Amino acid sequence: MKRETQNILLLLLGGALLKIAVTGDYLRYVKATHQPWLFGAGIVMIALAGVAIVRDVRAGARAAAGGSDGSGVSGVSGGPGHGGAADACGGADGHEHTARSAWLIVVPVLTVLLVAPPALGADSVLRARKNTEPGNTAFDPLPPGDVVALPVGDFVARAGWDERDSLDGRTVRLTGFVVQTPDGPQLARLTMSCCAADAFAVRTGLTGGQADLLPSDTWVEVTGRLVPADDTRERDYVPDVAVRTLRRIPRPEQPYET
Amino acid sequence: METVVDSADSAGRPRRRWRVTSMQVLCALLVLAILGQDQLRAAVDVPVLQTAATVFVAICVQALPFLVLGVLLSGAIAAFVPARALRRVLPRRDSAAVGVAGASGVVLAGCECASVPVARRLIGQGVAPAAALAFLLAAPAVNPIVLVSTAVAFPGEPAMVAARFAGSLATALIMGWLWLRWGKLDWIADRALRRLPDVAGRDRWRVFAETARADLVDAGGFLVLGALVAAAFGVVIPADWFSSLGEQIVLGVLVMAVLAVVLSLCSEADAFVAASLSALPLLPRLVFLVVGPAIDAKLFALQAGTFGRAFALRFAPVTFVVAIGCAVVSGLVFLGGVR
Repeated sequence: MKRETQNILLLLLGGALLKIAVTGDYLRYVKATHQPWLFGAGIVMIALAGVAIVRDVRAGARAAAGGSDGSGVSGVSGGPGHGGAADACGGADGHEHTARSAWLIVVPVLTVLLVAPPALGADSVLRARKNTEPGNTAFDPLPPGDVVALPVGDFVARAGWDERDSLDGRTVRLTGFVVQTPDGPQLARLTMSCCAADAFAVRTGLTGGQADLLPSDTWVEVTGRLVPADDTRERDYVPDVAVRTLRRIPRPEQPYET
Repeated sequence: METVVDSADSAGRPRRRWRVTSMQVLCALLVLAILGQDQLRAAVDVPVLQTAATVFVAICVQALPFLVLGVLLSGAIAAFVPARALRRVLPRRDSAAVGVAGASGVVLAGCECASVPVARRLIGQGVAPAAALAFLLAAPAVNPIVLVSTAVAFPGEPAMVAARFAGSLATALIMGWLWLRWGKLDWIADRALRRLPDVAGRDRWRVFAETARADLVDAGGFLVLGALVAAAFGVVIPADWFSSLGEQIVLGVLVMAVLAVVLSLCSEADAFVAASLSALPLLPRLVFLVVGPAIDAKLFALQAGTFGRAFALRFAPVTFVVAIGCAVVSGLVFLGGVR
């Protein structure tokens, strides 16, 4: 692959990173604290490609103008004779071997700019059956109030592993998306620690509230109470919520819980 | 035929014969993709493909900033750290240099993607390959960020942090010493060994920018390849694999080691995934944490691209075995058994 093409690819890749960092689409793929890194990486890529393009254009102009004393301008101490030309085709490190692998950079560029895959949803949830045990099973008491807003992950953890049953008799508000499963409708959310590759699903069954009428991946806000159960282990730690209210909401800006 | 044209090109005076250039190919590709955008979207509009595409983009977006950090460091070493300065810092005896290089991985807080270009540049600047490879394996696994995230992910198990640190550092040092004993320089591609001349003044910035740019193009393609493989495995492997292993400890260790390779998680995040696999005893999860930063699909692709296929095909399998061994021993010592 030619040097100019490499530079264009770097510009595109840097541009794609900046685009998702500006529009907020990056939240579909990585956690919020990654944003400054994306800005930094995008700017560095564009700068590296830009510097190379400007130098190549100048070297090309010099070569066209005769190129006999180009070395003084470019300041190349190693090889005065071929300063401009060597820069233009090989650079400091000779890279003919990049020819094929560098083409792969097109794939994320096109995927990000043209396809823009959505945040993980029902398909990922259906890949696993169980809720997994949280690392920390020492729970603080729930805050007071009639309705307590809880992350789905926290709710599921308390429902499955809290020995003090902090959820008993409390009404909670949960935000997530609907997943239609063979066991009935569920409310799910994905928990992410770094990027979507390490996300895993947490889910709870929904009883009542006509959640079975909604298509999968519909975002909803649900209030209701945990249905007490003694067989949590047999049910793969998937609790049930007796739905009191259910309301459709637009997709939240942060699709994942952390 | 083509090589003749190429050499005419690089001599500076191309004979103008009509040939499809990579720039024309790229332009055609972009135009086609934009025109066919709707078809492209429709083709990906299958749940499993969307999941794979999201995971693929996520791995790229997650790893690229770290790769950029790595190539900037690599460029800085090439431009501003003369080879003799590096030689002065490292002990003259190679076996001692391996120890120092491995331990210095503690301070470079980076992901595994950052350490590949840095290790390559260290070799290029005359550092013993064994020491550079020890650094390559140690840096992503034992730096403070990774250790802290491990401690956060396993709040009740501080021994997990110690076990991970010891297992990963041991892997790096043993691989370095193995390389001293049996490694051959021929396995490493010539381009990775090429020495850049020491430069001074404004040239340093030129070398810095050019080295970083070239390393980025080099490694970027291979990172994408690794991300593609990892995303494909991510949707192919059923998630219930993890939890159904239960008490079969040998099988558990092997499956977790293989999963660490194919999933290619960032070393700062893998502790949280390991923590969520609570159906497994701690030992297989420790193996997951030690193997992952040492060798995984995206690292293998990066190593093959940077050091050459002959190197990666030998280095990666040995790393895999050594990492499993070190993790098991470290687990038995620090965790006091399988648990």
